[in-house]
Amino acid sequence: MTKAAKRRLRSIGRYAALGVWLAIVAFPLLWALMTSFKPPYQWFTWPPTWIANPFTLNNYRVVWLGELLDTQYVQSASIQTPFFALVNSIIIAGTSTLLSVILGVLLAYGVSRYGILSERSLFRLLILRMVPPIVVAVPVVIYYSTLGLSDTYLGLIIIYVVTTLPYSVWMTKSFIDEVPVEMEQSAELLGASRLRTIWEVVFPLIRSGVVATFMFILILTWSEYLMALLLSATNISTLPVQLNKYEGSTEGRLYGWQQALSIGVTVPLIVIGYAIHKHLVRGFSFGMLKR
Amino acid sequence: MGEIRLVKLRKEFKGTVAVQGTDLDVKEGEFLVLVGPSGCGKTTTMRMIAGLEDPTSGEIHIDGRLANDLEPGQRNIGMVFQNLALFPHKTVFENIAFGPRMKKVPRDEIRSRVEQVARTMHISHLLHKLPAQCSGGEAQRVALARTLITNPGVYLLDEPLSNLDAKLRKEMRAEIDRLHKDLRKTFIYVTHDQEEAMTLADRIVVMRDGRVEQVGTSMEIYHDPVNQFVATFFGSPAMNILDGEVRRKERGPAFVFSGWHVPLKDLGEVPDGPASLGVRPEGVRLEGATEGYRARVSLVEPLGKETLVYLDYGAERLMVAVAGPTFQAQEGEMLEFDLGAGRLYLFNAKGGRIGHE
Repeated sequence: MTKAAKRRLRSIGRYAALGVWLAIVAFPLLWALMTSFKPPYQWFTWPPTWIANPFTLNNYRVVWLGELLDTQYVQSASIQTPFFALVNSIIIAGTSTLLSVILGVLLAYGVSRYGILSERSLFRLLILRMVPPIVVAVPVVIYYSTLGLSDTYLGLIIIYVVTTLPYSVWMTKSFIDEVPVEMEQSAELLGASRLRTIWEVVFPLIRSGVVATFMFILILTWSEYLMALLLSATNISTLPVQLNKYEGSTEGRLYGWQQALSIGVTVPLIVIGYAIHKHLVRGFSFGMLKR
Repeated sequence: MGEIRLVKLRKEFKGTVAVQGTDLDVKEGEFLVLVGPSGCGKTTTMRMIAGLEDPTSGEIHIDGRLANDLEPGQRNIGMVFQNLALFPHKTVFENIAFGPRMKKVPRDEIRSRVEQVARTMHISHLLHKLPAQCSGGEAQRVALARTLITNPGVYLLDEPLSNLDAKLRKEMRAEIDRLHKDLRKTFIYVTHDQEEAMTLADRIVVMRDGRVEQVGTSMEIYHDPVNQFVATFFGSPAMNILDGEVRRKERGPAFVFSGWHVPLKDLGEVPDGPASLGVRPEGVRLEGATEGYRARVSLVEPLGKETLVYLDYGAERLMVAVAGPTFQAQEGEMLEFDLGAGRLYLFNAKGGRIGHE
């Protein structure tokens, strides 16, 4: 066999394997997408209804706009005002991610340039992440109810910032470490103030890394379930929590509604991910800087 | 403008002493080279002058003013780093314009000044490029231009040529020399390359283990080194060192080495005891030798303008000699040579020079 033919065969094999993998990964997503357009009586049918017929947007109108359609399937308690959970999630995940990354960058800069934390305390910070969340959850619930932080935006934001900060610090530190300190020093010698140096020299060089970190933390906070469940009641409900509220007392899971919501949970991440994919590729391949 | 005085300058890093009490006067417009092996404290000294390291103790005076507490940007100093530290996300133009922009120079003036500096450094055609698109030599010029445009009183150059190949290095060396002569500003230059030091410097500061070993012109350092370290650091090939001892003979003191007696007539009063004899390779005469020293040729390296001859004695390499371009010798052949033709240096067991005031 010629070299070219071998290479061709190998690439066919590779694509075949990738195709199988893609089918495994994509099937549930396609199934969810299809179910979200099905009328209630097709949610549970066997053999399965592959293509929604009739094609309906009712599920979306119920879970996103809070319209009372097909109510025979559910107690109306779980129907929320329009975009309730989405707004909650955006506020909570967005704010806590932003805060976590900003604090993370500042802390990482201090660690990288001034050694404000010892190697040991840095690792301690990381070990914080290895504590099973459920261990912390109960005490937090007790403290929060005493402090009145339960079922508030602030309460969840604090928890999310604290638990994701170790990631922010560790990830952004690796990017800051990549920037030769001489670059900052030469900016300083050329008369730039420290803030100016950080803004004009350091930040542009770590931007991709910061974006990647932001995305990583956003995925964590956007899909966090345990804390969101324990620390929310009626005032707030994030998307993952809301997802589990579509359950009828006699009908069990209301698949159409759940899928309509879960598509909405997934799409923003895919859109953001696609919009910033250039940064992600550079950011997640650490060591991006040419020295 | 551009006068620097260091008083008992000392720097410790977590228990290790990097610079131990350096005193140094740098004259205005002087080209001073700090030279020494890595870890000798030369870069630390320079970084303290720049304000990038705080001295543990001692004083730095710039233009007669105590500068210890001045920020790097306030010292009227420009520095080119070993890795150049160009801003990779800014174009060459923006890199050069950075300094004046920080000093709030008007836009139009920045443009004309950048263009002028770019012409001086022959990089006008690179202004729109990114540093990563420039060759090593071009990036070097950009780094110089970025410093040049701020018109500092003192230029600090930290091994700026170490990343270049040999040919380019010589070119840039000449360029830096020309720049110094044109600007008439103080240059302080750090290198571990003795040749660079010798060719560029008005004065050389030789450092070792955080201490200044000797300060002097290239010729002083070469011909009159204060100790064995300085003597062997300068010159290529390095000075030959023979370990033996000094004994008093009837006709004055002699250096005794494996049965040889080298008379030490010009060195004045010399104490008996173990010592080392230093001979520069060009001080070993192979042609028309009369003194009767003999050794085996182990290697002959014709370099074109001269020939290097390596001589072994017993199992050991004895010395390197520089002979004329047409010198012929066979490897393994026994050769006669003279030591008395050149200058002889004598060092005591601690490496200090004997007979040096």
